[in-house]
Amino acid sequence: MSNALFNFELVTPEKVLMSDSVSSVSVSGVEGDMTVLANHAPIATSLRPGYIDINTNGKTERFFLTSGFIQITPDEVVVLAESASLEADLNSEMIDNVIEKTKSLMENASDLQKCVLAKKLNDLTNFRNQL
Amino acid sequence: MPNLKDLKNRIESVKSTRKITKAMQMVAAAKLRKAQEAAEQARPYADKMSLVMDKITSSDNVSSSSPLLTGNGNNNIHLIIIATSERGLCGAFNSSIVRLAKNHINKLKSEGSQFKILTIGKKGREQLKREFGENMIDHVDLSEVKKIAYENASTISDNIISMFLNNEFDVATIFYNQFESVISQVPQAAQLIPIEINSDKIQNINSISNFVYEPDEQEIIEDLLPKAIATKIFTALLENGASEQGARMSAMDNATRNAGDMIDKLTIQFNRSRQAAITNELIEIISGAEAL
Repeated sequence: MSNALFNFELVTPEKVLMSDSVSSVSVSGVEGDMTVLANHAPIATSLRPGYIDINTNGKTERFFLTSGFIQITPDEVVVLAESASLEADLNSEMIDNVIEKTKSLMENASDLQKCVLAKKLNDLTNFRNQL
Repeated sequence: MPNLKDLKNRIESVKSTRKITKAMQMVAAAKLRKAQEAAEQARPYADKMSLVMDKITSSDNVSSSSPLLTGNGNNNIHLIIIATSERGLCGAFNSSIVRLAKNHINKLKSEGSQFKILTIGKKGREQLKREFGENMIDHVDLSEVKKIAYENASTISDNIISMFLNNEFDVATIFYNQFESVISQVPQAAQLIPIEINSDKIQNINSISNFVYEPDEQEIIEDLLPKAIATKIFTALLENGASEQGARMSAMDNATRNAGDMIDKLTIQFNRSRQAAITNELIEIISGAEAL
């Protein structure tokens, strides 16, 4: 069962970062972390800032996503990430930049959007502190 | 008739112009390849994003929609975003965008709507400044940007969205050149706010699968809408980048060919004048000899 593969795509606005058959993908969704295996029920969720682990036959690749969206169908998983960087390239300065940007966005946002952004800001700050 | 020295100088100067245009053409060709690649690599994200947007907005559970999606109910103040290049010498690239935008503005004027202009790239700004100077509210300078990144687009879109939420305008449209091929770039207008949703696709999407949304559709839409708008701007900027290089390449190709033609003509003229001078001298010598 755990050997079943499914198509996975990690897409950023600038290019397709990864398009491969993988065995599992772990993401941090806004309502909690989850791991996706093959034949998962269709679900779509926003992602909070955090790591995405992509497991292919025991080998794991880890990216950091600042925000994104995952769309899961039984045979395909697509992650739309606003920006993705390898864990090795990650530094706290980068996250600080994102935090600053989110703060400036909040000033003019509508109520519902403020709610979304506040959550994001909170997640980012938490993540920054863990680093 | 210009003397031989002048002709020689002119031929030399046209030759060096040809060298420059030739070099610019080759540089544009190299840049075009990169720009095209960037545009191509960005396509999957844009496609998937619009697919997701179509799907979510067609879902029944979306009750009161965000103003970014449905507009704020007014249609009075239009924001015209004009994306042009930072450098010239690219044929009709900039003027074709400006012409399309002007047509649009004139239509708005005749309908009695107000408009504001935001320019990206200085060439379009220069062309519009005299006529619409008082309508220009902002300018985005990309002259320092070597390769257009998503960051650039998202900064612009964040700006636009916050202006929209402050009720500074009701409808936003972006003007840019769609890259068709090296010799053809089509100026286009795309509406950003309220965002256009492709309704004809929705039918067959719905039948594919019923998604569980987490959190609910409403919140996902709030999260995705700014990204979708940024993506549209990003696509427009990339298309524009490829079009600019394509336009420059063909303009410079033309210039090189024209310079070649001109050199041929001038060379013929030069040879004729030289021949005439020689003939003149011969006549003088012969008639001098006859007189003796």
